[in-house]
Amino acid sequence: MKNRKYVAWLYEQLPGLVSEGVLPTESADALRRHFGEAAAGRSGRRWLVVLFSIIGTALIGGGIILLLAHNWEQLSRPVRATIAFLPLLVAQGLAAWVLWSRRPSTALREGVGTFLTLSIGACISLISQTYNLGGDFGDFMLTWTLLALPVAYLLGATVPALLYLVGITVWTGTVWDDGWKSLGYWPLLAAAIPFLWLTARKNRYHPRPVVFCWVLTLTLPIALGVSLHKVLNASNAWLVVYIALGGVLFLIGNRWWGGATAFWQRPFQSLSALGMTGCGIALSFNVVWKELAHPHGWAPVIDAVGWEWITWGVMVAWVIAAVALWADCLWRRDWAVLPMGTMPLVAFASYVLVETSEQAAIGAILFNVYLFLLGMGTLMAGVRERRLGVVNGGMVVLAALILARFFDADIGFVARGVAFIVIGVLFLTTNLGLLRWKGAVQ
Amino acid sequence: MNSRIPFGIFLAVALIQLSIPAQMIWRHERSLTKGRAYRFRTAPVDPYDAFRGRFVALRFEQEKAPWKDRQPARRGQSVYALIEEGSDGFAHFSGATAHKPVAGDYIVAHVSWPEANNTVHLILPFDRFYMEETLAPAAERAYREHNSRSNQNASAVVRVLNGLGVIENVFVANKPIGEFIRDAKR
Repeated sequence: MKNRKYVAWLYEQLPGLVSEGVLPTESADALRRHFGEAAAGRSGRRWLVVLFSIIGTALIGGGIILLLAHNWEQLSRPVRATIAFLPLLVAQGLAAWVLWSRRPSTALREGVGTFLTLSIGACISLISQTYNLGGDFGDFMLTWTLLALPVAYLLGATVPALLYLVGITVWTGTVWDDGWKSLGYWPLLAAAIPFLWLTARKNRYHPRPVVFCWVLTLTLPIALGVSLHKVLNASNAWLVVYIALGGVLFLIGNRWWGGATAFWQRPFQSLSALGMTGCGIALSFNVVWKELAHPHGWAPVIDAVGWEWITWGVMVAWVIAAVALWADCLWRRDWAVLPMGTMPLVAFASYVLVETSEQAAIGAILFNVYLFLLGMGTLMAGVRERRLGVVNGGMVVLAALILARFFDADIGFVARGVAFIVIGVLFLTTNLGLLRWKGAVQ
Repeated sequence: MNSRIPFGIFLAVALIQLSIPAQMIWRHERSLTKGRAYRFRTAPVDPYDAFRGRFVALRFEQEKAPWKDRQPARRGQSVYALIEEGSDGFAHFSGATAHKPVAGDYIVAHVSWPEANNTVHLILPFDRFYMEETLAPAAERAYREHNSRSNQNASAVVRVLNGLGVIENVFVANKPIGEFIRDAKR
């Protein structure tokens, strides 16, 4: 029995050891083969218990909220106040017991954390209902999630942290047009980041930090667009900043989660690469750059700095972060990651060139060349490393680019036809050349 | 000893978690018990809130006020809306200002949009009246019948204290809405 426990621990450690270069991938695989699936099965069962605990308490908490939402008319205000506090006090009591007795069980901590979080929501809901409180859903979500965030830290429970990420995004959406309020998202987000660090410290491939990363990757683009929309509109830099955001997440993912063995462990890399490719394809259209280019060059962009300098700062910070992480990637000679990681630089350079020269075509040409090289580079790297996923990634980029150009109404049919034939012939001859060279080598 | 620190922090957090809702109750309870009652004319709809249940959304006939300050009002600005009772017994706003009034009742509201003729449209903090799930659809129907131009017979009583307005009840044909619906069902 003890052995199984140690093997489970070893299995949890393996991805981290591989990513830090302590252990080669082959050795990790050999260890897995040696110890077999037994431990993995046990680990799976343990996670089933955790999931059932979360789902169970979430159902109970949700049920309490729905029961209270019925709005029992017969109940007096003092009775309603008591009922509002009852689930909260029970949940707090349970949390206090878990902390006092130092129970290490993840299932217990996640379950109690979920229940306490929902109890806070139920309590505020019932009071809002009793006193006919107005106000919008955003205020309600913000109060709720701010009160629940400490639960995530103290119990080490993931659900309150996930609710917090969603809650602050919802709140940002509700205050999108309310002066500088929506910028509050960034300090609110900063309050949740140490949780990621705390959970990822021991094993960054553990489901808890990984799930947090998934929710972060899904909510961050929404909040970024909402909170920075004024400056993004003024500068027409939507796609450039989104590529910078994707670049930051992609490079962070590869830097710290590079040893992930399964798809679900790579939210930063996979979602960012998908989003960046989409934005990149959009920027390969001349018509998009025509829309982005200001008729008066930099003047409106500089003008907006005066009235929205904090928003500008946040926007520029993303671009700087993308460049810094790219430099780090270059410094570490991580050639496999560099091609995709370079997209923010290409986007930024194209944006500056187009704004300065007022020639939209420069941006489109640069992006077409870049995406072609990116697709080819990825494809070749995949073939070299015999990694089917990487090969497919390169194929997706190339296919998307080809499709985009095939339907690009900005380029004449003759020009498109000739270009397609020339590139096709180049492809075939290169392929043939490579095959001959490989044959000669062998 | 150090391992007890998280427990100590949790106790502080738990107190905050309890104090925020308790403070909500305290403020609103004070307005309801000590505040002066004003009657506002209303208009209905029946939306739904997944968390807080069904409510009658209230739109007030009186939602604009003359702007009293020299500096123009901004959209979303927090202002003090001064309340007066008209000769018809219904409340109306005699003015709105960015400065806290020294006398008279007022409500803290937000500017929806400022009009060119020195009038501001207000977003009032009380905009809903929660009803029991089964009563809300009937409430909506009752409201529709009693809130048309030809038969405007619905109102809300709001208790006001220190800038906080809390809806005490909603009336249809001079009866509390719950009672009105129950009578109609009989």
